[in-house]
Amino acid sequence: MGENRREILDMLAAGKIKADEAERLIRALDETPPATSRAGTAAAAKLKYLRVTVESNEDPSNPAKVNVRVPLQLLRAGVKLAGLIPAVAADHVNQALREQGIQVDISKLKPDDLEELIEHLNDLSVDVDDAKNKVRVFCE
Amino acid sequence: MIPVFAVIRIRPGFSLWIPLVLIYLLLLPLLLLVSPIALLACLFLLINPFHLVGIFWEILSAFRGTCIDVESGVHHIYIRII
Repeated sequence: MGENRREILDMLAAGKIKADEAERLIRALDETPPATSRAGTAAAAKLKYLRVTVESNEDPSNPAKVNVRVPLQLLRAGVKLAGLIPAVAADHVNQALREQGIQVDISKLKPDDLEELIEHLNDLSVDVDDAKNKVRVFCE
Repeated sequence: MIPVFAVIRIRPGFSLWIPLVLIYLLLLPLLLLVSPIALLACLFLLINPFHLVGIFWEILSAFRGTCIDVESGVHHIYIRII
């Protein structure tokens, strides 16, 4: 139960408000979308690129740097294209992915799932460091 | 909007600004040849061809902003799609 709803019920129990007022307040709460969800969607809309950076010092005399920036819109369009793959072909793709150790069913990939993933990528940054190599994956 | 330029820099070597419009024009006859086959495939697989064209257009547009930068010692490869 939400904190606001509990507060309204407490006020009703304490006799500070009447039943019809409590009902009106609860209805107003139901109609207002949660602020966090709106903020999350706005943040996801702001993210434009998936960025992968790699710094390697395996050979100190010849350090290597890789910096790749992929538009997230490309991922969105790719997921839409995956949705058009016929069932027979999707089975072949799934089997090939399983052979590579990737347990993904592409027929279940939906654009909404990707939006949710991108929304969560806002808070996620993957850093892999060892003595000589550094890999970073994040969204910007 | 679809990409209009590709920047390719290879060091030591050269730097190129490629107008992609020219490449689209070169690929247009090929597209015209392939489209009847694609249309038949869409009918056979029960896919809306307009939907497919829309998604391909979206993918092409999404390439804008892609950047690949690889540097190793004196060698440097930079590709950017604008």
